[in-house]
Amino acid sequence: MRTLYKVTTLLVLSAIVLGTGCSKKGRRGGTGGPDGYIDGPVIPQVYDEGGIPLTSDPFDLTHQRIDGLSFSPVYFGYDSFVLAPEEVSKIEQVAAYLNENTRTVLIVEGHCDERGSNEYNLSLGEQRALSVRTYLVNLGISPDRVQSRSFGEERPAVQGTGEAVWRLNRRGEFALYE
Amino acid sequence: MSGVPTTMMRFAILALLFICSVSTTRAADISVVGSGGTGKESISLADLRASGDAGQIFAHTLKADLERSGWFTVGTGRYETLRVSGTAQASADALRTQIEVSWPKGRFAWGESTRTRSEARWQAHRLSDEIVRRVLGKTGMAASRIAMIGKHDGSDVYLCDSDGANMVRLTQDRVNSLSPYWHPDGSHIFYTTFIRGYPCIYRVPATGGSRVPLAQFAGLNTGGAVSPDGTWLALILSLPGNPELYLLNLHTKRLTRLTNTPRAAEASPCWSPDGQSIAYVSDAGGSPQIYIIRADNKQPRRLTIRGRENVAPSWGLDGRIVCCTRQNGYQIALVDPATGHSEVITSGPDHEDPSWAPDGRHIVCSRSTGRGRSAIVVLDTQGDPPVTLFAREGHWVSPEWSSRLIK
Repeated sequence: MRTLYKVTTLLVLSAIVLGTGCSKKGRRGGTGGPDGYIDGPVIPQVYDEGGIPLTSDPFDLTHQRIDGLSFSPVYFGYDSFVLAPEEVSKIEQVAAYLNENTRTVLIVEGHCDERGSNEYNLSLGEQRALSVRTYLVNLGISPDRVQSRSFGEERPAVQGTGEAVWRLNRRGEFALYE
Repeated sequence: MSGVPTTMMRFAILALLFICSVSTTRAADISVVGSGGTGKESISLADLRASGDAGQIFAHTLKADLERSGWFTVGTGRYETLRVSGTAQASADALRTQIEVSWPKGRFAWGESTRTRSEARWQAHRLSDEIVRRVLGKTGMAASRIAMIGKHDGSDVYLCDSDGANMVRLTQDRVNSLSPYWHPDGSHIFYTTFIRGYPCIYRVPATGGSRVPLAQFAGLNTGGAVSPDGTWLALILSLPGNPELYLLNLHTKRLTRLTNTPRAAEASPCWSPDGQSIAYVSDAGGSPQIYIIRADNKQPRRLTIRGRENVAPSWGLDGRIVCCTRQNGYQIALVDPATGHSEVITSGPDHEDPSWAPDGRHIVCSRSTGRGRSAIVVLDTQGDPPVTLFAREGHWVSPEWSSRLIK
């Protein structure tokens, strides 16, 4: 039993040492989460398209919301996170504002219409937010100024049913902070 | 004078023959007797003497549980060979039961003494499940609970008993909540909450109390299904840049990534009863469909082959998968995990979020009732009509059935 105890202690200590080493490379986000590290396929950074990891807390904890400033939401097709050509000008307007106001940061909030499961819509909303984020990063906005957040179908802009309502709820919204 | 006695004689002979056939019925033929349709066993509670409030509650709950199980109809007591007899005696603050259940092939004694009157319903739940187990060799669902999200004051996690009784509000976050999952031992609920402003997974004791964060990485943290042995949490994180399926070891807090789909999103993980595989949703094929992945080899295979959307899987004890499929609105479908063949079992207004009962026969789901409301409904996979568990004001969604609980 003593030997088992020693072996177990050794294994646990090794895991902690190795884990600490790995987590410096693989873990991102200063959100105070559990001390996990990522195993399996190598994940070089958090946002593989942005290329720079997110290290800050959510902006609504660290910054003040800028009220009275609103940009048009970006709208999406059903079950899609593809950016339509007629929508990207809205993102370009936001990029222009961010370029002129260098202390401003942004959370892109992804939303879905009510169809489909709440759980899948949370993932789809995240994809929509990340899609807009990637576009902003490709326009030259620093990735650490843009965060994504999904609300799934939980916060519709318009209550009701039918395509006239649904297309207004399939959106990415811009929440600015400074 | 000549006609009536002959008719009466005929009737008497028939009755005698009938009674004889009843008394020689073997356990396998027990369903010969009884008025229930579709092969239900008839059971008598006529010899159960219940006294006091708690005793009456026990007797009524037992009757309801036996009928709700789908296997029994409670008869008048005159012909049934499956009989429950004994006493359920309530005193000032206790309920004592001394029961005997007998049928041609066997009998068993059962009794409990519980200190509080409020335990009367759960005594009945346990006895009902024991009758299902001993007489039919099947698993009951009465001694279990259902978690769900109630959206009428923010949205929070609620719990109720398998029959809809004893509803309690578990969380008071009053922000958006989603996806409650039971720990297999019934001790905790894992759920997704926006208490930090973005989706994070927390764990809260089922008896109420402090919640503990389990996943609050940047971006999305959701899913949160606990493996049958209580070791792993299957969850969805957008840590690598898009939503992917991960496992979190609940003891070591170590993360393991299972999927790698940079252009697709995963969602809704649920565990197989043997704890070896996970069914989940992915839109890697262009629309959300059900996939299965083994935790040890990380090779996904697509399961659902028909339908524009298949979401919200739940994996039952007998190996069947149930999901929500888009076909004439949203309906509930059973899916064979080997072939992917699916069979829709609902019709009518949208039905979503199915979850298996621990008996492997019933399914709880939500059903739209119009005007922004949803009710919680129990479906039967053996043909009994659906039962509305409750249809209160507001939007009741995402029901999740616990395992059988020893309470």
